[in-house]
Amino acid sequence: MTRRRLSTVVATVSAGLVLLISSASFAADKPSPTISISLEPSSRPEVADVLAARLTDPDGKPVSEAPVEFWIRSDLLGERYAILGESPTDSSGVARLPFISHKDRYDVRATFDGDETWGAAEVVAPIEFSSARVVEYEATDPTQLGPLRFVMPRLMGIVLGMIWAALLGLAFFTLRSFKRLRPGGAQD
Amino acid sequence: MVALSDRSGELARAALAPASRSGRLSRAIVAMLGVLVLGGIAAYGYQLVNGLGVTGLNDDVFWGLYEVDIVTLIGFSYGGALVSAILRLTGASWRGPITRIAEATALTTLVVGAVFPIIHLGHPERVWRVATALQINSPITWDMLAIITYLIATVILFGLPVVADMGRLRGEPGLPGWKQRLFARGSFGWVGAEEQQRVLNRSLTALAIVIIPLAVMVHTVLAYAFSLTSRPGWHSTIFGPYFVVAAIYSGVAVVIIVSAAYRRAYHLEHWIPERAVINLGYLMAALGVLYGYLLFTEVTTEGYVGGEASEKLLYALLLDRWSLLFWVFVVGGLVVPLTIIAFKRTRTTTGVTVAACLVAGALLLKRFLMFVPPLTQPLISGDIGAYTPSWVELMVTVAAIAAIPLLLIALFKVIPVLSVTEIEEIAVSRGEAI
Repeated sequence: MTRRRLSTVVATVSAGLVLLISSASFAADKPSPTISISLEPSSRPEVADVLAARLTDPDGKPVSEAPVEFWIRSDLLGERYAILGESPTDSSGVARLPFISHKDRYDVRATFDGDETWGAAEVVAPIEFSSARVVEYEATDPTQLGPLRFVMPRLMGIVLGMIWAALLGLAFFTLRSFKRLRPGGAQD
Repeated sequence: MVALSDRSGELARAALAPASRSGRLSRAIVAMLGVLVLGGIAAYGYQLVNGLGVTGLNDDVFWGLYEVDIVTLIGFSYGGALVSAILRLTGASWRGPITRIAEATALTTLVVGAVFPIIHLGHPERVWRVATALQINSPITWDMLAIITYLIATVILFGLPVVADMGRLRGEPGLPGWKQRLFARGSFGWVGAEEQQRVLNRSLTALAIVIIPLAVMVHTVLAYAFSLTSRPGWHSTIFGPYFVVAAIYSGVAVVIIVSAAYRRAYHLEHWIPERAVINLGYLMAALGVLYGYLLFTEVTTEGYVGGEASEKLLYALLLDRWSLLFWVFVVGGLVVPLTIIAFKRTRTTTGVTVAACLVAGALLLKRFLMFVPPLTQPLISGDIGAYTPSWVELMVTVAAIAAIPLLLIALFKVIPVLSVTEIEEIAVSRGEAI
């Protein structure tokens, strides 16, 4: 009875392992397409430049209907890639994402996570933008309270500094007075 | 005169009793509190190694028990300092035995509470980034600065009378050598001269005047971290006063608990009379009524207008998902304590202390209800969020609560538990025997 149970367990585990290894090798067998990234500058000032990622199979043929994610390298809250958006490739294997640049150079990353036919692919490339196309970031202030936003924290800082000085001064002069006012003065 | 001198000696011995006496029970209590604190430190170590993922925090509920602890503990502190300041300014003659305990409670709860923003950060070294990447328009920055300011004021409010007491008690017979040297150095030449007393009183009065608006400011700025967001349940003009009143209410409760504990443990019944505890109970009851009024105003204002998000939140709070906790708070934190204090039969030291324990616990629960349910309400996704504190958060919280009495015990091992100079000065000014 025990031997039968043991053989059942061994058989189940072996079958599981075979399944796992075969599925892993199947996944590893999937070919990865090649991905490249470029900039398609806009000729019209009111239309944004476009980031284009091209996905081709090992024979150089376009891979269509594949979702591609676009990222830029960011140092906000630590160095990392921040996602810009996702776009599917068209019949020519190109996924496009309009992008307004706020500086003249970005490290852009394009990723394809893979599907039933293709393995995953990724590329990182520096993309240069024409300085004429760079839009300088300007903070918007819908409430028109910009001057107050500038003045208030600084004013509060000054008041706080005065409070700190008053508190520490109070402690210092009180303790000094204790010494000065004791009978016999502060000789020792 | 001989009688007065005898009574002064008794007062000095009573004030130094926690430093000189430690029975088996007190050692057992210290050991138990120490184990709880060590458990909390170990849990925090586990969090440091494995990240904030070991807490119950998630994308929806990103502020949980740690934030509850920050606001609750700083609230406790605020109440302690305000009790001392208000009683000093109003010249309440029964304040003498209470002020030292109130100020020490304010200091210890503030020190423990101020650790929680660092625990909540996940990576403690990120504290440095608050200074190096300072955002002066952020409420969090001002929160930190307000707490530091309040800490400075509390240390001075606590420290100046201690300096006077060190001068007063440095020659006390039976004082160990190291303590005599410490008291001599820490007394800054205090001998109780009339001029010194006058300077001390003037400084403490000035400090009491400063610390009241300062404490209001601290808790209002703490409320800004919530009310300056557009989240239903948080974005409310009542949040500032709501925080302030909750802080004093719970703070007075903690002062009552600590006073009653020391009164009982060291037989200080003569020096901390029942009248003082009951008077604090009256103060707590008045604040309880005020807090109940603010709660009523909040619920009525939000509920009457009935914006979609506010209505869902109120429904969850009053009648649905959070209603059990909410009504436990209303009964345990308002109805029962006020009833205990309302009736003469239950208005005793024990009764007031029980009421104070209920208030302190209920206000911790109320902070949970103020922060977590609004975060579970969806702003974009439509999915209701969930949050259950993990064992790590619970252990750290229990450790923080245990650290308060442990720090108080350590503090009163060194400094007198009663403000000897103040008690004597009040007695002299009233022409009474001590």
